[in-house]
Amino acid sequence: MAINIGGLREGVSIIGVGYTPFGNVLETPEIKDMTERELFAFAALEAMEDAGIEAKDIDAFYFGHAMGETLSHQTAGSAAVADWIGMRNKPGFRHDTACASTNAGLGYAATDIASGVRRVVLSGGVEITGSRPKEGKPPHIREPMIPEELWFRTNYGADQAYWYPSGLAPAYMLDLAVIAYGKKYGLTLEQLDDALNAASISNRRNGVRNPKATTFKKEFAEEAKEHGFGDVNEYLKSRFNPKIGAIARMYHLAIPVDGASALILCPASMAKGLTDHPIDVIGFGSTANVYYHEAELPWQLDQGAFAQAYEMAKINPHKDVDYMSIHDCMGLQFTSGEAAGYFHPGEGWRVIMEGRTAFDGDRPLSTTGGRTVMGHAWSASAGAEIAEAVRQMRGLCGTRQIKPVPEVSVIHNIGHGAHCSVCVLRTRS
Amino acid sequence: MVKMQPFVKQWYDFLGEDKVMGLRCNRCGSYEFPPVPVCNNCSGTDLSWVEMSGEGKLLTFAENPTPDAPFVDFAPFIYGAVVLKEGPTFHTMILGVDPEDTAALYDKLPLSVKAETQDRGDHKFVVFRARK
Repeated sequence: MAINIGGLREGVSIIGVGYTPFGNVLETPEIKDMTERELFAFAALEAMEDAGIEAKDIDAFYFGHAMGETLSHQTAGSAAVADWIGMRNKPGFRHDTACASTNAGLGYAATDIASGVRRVVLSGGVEITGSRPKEGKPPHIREPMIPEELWFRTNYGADQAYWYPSGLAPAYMLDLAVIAYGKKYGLTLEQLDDALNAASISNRRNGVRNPKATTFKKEFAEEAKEHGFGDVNEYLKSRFNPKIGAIARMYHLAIPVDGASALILCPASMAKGLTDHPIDVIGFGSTANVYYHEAELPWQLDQGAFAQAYEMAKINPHKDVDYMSIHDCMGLQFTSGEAAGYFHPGEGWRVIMEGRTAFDGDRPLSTTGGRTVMGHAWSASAGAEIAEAVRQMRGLCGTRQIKPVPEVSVIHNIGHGAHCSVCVLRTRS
Repeated sequence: MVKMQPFVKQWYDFLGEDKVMGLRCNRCGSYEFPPVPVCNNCSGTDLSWVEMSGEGKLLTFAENPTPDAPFVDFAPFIYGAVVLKEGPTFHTMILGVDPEDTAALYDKLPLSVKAETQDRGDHKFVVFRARK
């Protein structure tokens, strides 16, 4: 059903972004021994430094933490983190739309500002997916979590009345989307496998150039050679990249990591005085549905969120978007990328096969490396992807910088449940 | 005033009697499957329980070699998206297909399937079986 889309009554800008290195708090040196509090604090403080403001200048904050109860033994976490970001006794709200949380959180902050209720709002999130506190102990005393337990608890995000009892599969979303795509456009299973592997190659090319992606340091071509493969495609079809679904292979899926992200927003009229390079939030949209309503492409979930965001932004996605970040925890780059209008229908897989979605291609996607390379810290990832878009638009991405510097970016996220959130950013001309 | 009912329990109770039930909107005629108290097509709240035909088409699928603990007794199984004759789409286990031969299943899509119930001990759930 159609909804009313109102415009922002006052322009809103992002003036600061921050995110931690994404890794594992049990072993990654940059974040070792940190709890959710330190991760969120360092992301928030980085965003404040980036914005050239301090905590005293911020009116309220949003805190995305989808797995608070189940992985962190912490509900109502905005109270627990308020001190850690210097915002004791200010409005602070924990929220959860699973892995879309920090994209949705940008919309909450922008709405507050455009309504005139608040001026400067911080919106961020945190997740630790690789370990958990021991019951009743302080949170630095942790134990590793096996993937089966992580997925079991993550599946609390699926409707428990009708959906979870259906027998959810870990890689279900990739298989369902990509098989539907293959049938729609008459592709063979081998072509679909090749397209997903090509996406892996471009994602890895992006991610090894991102210092905050700590897990993988080598491009697949180099890794293939080390394993005795002259052809990277053969390597990606070998036992080193085993199938774990009908189509899905190991490197097609997100790797769970720990991390935090934060964004700072303010009225567009105020931003110019604070930064030389304000990035305006010109549109956002969200949908919620039980994912079992989806079968054919494009998904209603994607269509609704993109349509809302584009209507608010008044852009034509087929020609106005310079950089796209697609939620790629389960191989959705060409299915959702087409729903986004970034690829023409039926052509997304081919654009990916041609290597054009790496940072140096003409249709760049997810230059952090995405969730399969930088990794996926559930609630925190969307904010990191928005931060990446902002840095690309400011020309600050070093060896993975998109050229020419993008002026319009779209960030798309899907959270378990399912939720979809999309935002549109534009450089102030 | 809409009459409050325990829809979830009622649906599972019907499944326990091997009946696959949904709700039909008395205003616009569209179906809610599984049941919810308001029509998502027209917002109507006057809905009646009806037995679903159980006829559907499997449009896409996933393989599940390592399911969560509650479902390990059924592994490996195919999990799929079925569009029902009455309109709604639902995801659940697909029986009567070879989980080891996903290439053959891919070639057969869309595949006609029929609903049935699966015993889970303290409740039954709806699954679909490929038609011969």
